[in-house]
Amino acid sequence: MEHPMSFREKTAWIMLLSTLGVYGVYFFAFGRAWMSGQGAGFGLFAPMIATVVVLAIVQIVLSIGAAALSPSDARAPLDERERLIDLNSARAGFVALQSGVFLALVAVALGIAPALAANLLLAVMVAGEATRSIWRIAAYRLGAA
Amino acid sequence: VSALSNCIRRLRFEHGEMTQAELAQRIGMTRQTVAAIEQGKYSPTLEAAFRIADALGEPLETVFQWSAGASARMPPQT
Repeated sequence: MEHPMSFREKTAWIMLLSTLGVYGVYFFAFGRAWMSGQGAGFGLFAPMIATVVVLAIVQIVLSIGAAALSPSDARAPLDERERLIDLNSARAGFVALQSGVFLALVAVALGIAPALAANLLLAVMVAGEATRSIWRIAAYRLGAA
Repeated sequence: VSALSNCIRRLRFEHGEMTQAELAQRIGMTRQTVAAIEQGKYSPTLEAAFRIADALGEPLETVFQWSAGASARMPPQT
């Protein structure tokens, strides 16, 4: 029998797709500015803060929507397998983050432009968060922890 | 291959065709976790195993079986 997706899995999908979607738009805009030679003047902080605010709004709205569809699941505390999935996915995300930060440090040492370095670090954070969400989704899909 | 197997599915049906969701509610877990335990994809903690056995009204060893040959044996502690 096919069962509907659990609330926890829905929230993992929301985190993954909203993160990739919103930051995808940001990095696309930055990439275009950079390719046209205006990357240094892209205005780092305003677009970054706007992206974070938009992402927070999108995630809050979608999470509220998912919770409204299954309110009892949303109120239920995490069980032992879900806590284990969260711990394992956080570890996977941290490993991705560590690896990315190391690569970014190498790039900075090689002398890349400050605007590019800042965006590289932001991309590393996004990759870490995406890794965490992908790990959670895989664990929920496969049934394992 | 997990060394821990179980007959939760059979016991659920023998106890009034209890659904995974009903069992999950009785033991404070999600239906997905009960399904994962049934399929041998997730080994529950000892406390959860006792709660499952209690909900099914069976002793622990009736619900869960340990097959030592199915997993690598640890060297004896000295």
